[in-house]
Amino acid sequence: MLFWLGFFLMLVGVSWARMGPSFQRNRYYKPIFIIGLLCVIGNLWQSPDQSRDIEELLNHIVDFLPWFFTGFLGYYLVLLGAPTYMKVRYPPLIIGWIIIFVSFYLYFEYNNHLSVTDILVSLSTVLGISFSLISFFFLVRFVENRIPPEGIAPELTDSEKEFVRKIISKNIGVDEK
Amino acid sequence: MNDILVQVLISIIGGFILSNITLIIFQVVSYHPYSKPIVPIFFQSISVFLGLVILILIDGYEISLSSQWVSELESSLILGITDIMRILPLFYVLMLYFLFRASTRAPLESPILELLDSE
Repeated sequence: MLFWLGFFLMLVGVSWARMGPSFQRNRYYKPIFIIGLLCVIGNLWQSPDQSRDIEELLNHIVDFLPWFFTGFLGYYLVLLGAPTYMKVRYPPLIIGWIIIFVSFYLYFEYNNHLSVTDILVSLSTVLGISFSLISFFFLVRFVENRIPPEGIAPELTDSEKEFVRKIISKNIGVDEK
Repeated sequence: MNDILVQVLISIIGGFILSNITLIIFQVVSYHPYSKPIVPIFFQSISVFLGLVILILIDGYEISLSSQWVSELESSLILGITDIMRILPLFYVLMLYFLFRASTRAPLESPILELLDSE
């Protein structure tokens, strides 16, 4: 139960972080996501009287977390040191690549029970996810197309024009007087 | 039916249900005055229900109110999550190519960035 609560809270956190419009995004997405993550991680140390499916999933998470977090850290460091916008910074770049190679070692260390067939079968889940996303896209398009277009916006009032003029003057550095 | 084909079918339905449940939760909790979630949620709920029906039939049970809907839903979600964790390394390796290109290319030439560097 704790696992599903954590899973739900993580989804809520991600949803609140991505909801639109941007100025109405919920500011509590980070704590909600972290609480969810803690629930999922906390479930790893719960009593073993859980369903077999959940137990199997928790074993997968235990095999997944070491290489994933190591790889994530490596990616972050490499991007920090890469010369995308600034000059190249060798310490994070080199350390990042070393950590990425360590994550590969951890992957093979923790997942040596997986066969190629297992991974190929699991790859078919991408099909299911794609079906779901494509149908969602068409459903949203169907709903959005049914909304009648709004009328022509009224002209700006004098106070609105003055407000816009002030903003532009301030941005281009022109004295208002 | 071939065992592997059955596993593939179950994996597809697992991913489909997981993705739909995720999208339903997303639409409910991120509701705002500009969103119109009723029609998508209605059809997504029906498709989740149909996915569960197929899974129950594959498991050899009969469809009834007493069928194990909740446990089938739980199993399919777990399968979806497990499958994603299994295939993530493939995308991880794919991303390495872009990461390698990013770490070896020359920095962009920009007078504004040069000004920042000189400060």
